[in-house]
Amino acid sequence: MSGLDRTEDARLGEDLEFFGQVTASVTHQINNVLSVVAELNGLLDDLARAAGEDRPVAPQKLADVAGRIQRQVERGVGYVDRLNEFAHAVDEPRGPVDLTAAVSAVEALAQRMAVLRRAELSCTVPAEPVTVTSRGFRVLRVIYRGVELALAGGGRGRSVQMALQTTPGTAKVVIGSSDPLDAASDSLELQDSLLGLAGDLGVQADVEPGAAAGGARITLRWTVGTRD
Amino acid sequence: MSEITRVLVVDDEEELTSTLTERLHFRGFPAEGVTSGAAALARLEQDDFDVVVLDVKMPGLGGLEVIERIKARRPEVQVILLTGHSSARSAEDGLNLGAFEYVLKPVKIDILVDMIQRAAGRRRDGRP
Repeated sequence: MSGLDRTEDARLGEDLEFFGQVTASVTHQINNVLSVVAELNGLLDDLARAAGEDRPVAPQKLADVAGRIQRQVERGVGYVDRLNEFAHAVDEPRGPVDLTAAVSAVEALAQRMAVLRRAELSCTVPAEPVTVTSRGFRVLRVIYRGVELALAGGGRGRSVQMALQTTPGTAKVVIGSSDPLDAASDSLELQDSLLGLAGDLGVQADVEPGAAAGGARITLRWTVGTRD
Repeated sequence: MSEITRVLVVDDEEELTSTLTERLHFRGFPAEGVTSGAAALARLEQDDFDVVVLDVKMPGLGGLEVIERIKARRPEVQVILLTGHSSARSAEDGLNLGAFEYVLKPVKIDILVDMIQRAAGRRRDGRP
């Protein structure tokens, strides 16, 4: 062992796993955009050939395809910007962290995971920043783990909503699922992991697994104005 | 091609479906596009298609489930899978379920057209 204590070493390993998971997901989305751009480029090529074979191509058609390419480029830039922000979060030392931005970032980063789990994911955040003192990358990680737990198991058509709520001295992220958590071992492991991550950050985490009549609820509570 | 090959393109990326359909039209295929597995199965109930070009990873009804249902009800319809590199293993599973072949995104149109023509030939020969 290199001098890092085992607990911190394990945390760093989990950080890396989280980093890889998110990077894989966002790069898949970027690849989808590039696939569409490649097809649209191919269509332009088809139109150019048609024009060269004396089959007239309306200028509006060319403008339409150009517009479609532009929209995909903007979509791709959005994904790259998100991934870049996420990557830079690793650099940030302990300090002010905007939970409004963090919840919004997790909602964007976890969208593909939600789609693959056949669920809808949305978030509600205040218009203004909500600042806590913490470590930005691990704040993202604990919120993401909460979403992962809410999305685990369950049936199709599930909806998961994230909400950032504040009261004097407290900020909490509430992750509500339309379905209860299932009792499978994956969910239990995720729950243990979430509680561990929250504990590392000094964040109070409550998990209500829900029941047949109602969905699950995961709450992460920060005390505003103190350090973790 | 002396015979008409009807193609149904299925991908949840609407722009990809639309563009691929247009490019197949350019090449003489009467192609249509839908953006979900459920829509694909509904369309196949309404009309006859020779080849389905199907994305492996889709929300809701995924590509593998769609293949299973197509092969159960319309085994003569040929399925070509579209997949990203990360889903190549799922594509292999699709072959075991009866898919004709798979192609990686981004798609090279000439390769896809060749696959469609060969798949259509298989259909005409009466092989599932």
